[in-house]
Amino acid sequence: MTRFTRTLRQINEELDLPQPTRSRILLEMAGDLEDLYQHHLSQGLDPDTATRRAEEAFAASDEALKHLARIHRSGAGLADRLARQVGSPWEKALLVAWALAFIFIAGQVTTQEGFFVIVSPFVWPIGGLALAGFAFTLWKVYELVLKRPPDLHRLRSGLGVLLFLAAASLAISVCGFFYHLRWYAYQTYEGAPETVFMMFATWTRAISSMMVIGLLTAVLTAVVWFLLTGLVTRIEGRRADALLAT
Amino acid sequence: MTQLPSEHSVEIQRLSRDCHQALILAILSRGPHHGYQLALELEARSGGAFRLNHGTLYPILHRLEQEELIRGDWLDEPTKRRRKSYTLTAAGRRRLTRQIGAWRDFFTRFFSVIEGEGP
Repeated sequence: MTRFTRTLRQINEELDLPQPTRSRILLEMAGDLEDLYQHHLSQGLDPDTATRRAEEAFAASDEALKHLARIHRSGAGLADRLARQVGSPWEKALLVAWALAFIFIAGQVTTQEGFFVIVSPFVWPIGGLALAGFAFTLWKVYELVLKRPPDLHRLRSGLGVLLFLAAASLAISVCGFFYHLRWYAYQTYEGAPETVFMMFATWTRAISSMMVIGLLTAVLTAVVWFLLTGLVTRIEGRRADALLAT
Repeated sequence: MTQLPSEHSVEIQRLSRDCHQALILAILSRGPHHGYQLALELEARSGGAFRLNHGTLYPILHRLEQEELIRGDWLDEPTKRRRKSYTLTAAGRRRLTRQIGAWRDFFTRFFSVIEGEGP
């Protein structure tokens, strides 16, 4: 659609918004511009006049574009703002390096002999969340890389699920910690003094394995969310570039 | 005449915005529309009196979408680029009903002032 490239480029330059949001707005305008042009043609206008009329109708003032940008900035969700915090390549590299270091340490701990001998019952729901996150990730990667939905709106759909799973994993870990703490306090109070040390050892093993697994699930899920968000942003950017290409 | 609460009334300071919102909600109450269709239908229904530049239209549409009074859906249309279509939500329909009452009240007051009626 080269006939409106100039108009769209101009709006693209003046619309002060991050690329995913900007490309969605541009795609909407591009579709409407084309339809308006076709409408004018159907009314009997020649192509040049139809193009000019459509462009005139879309001439947005600086103030209107600023207003549009303000609306989208104020409406950006927490997840969007969070994703935008990490923008530069070194910030991304730092985040991934931190996550890998954490995963490496957690891996070392969980592969120690006897780590799973005494397991908190809270580990099972966390494991369920991890499996759900894994299944969702496979499905989303399939959708983004192989299926490639043409609908921009669908690209980001469901990504929030990963953040929810990460938060749920953290919440279960914290609940489990306090549950076991209370259990240990109760047993210490009620039990024989000679068993207190053994109970403490049991408690720390159960709770440490649960916390490591819970935090590992949360961090992994959050990193996958971050990587998928970056992938979606790149896809949206490529589509916007294609739209503006001459 | 009793004073209406602000959410049920038209504020004179925001006359233009409230007017555009009411007109767009009213057109969408007749069915889903694309952005350009909204502008064309508004012009056609008003006999050319109300013209909405698209530069003005999108901020209003996106604000209404953000407030969940309308819903924007990207639609697949064969042989055509994807299009965004807007539909009135249940909340939008309720807002429109309130807006109709508010505009009626506004113009009653307006004419009572300019025609010199009332106390």
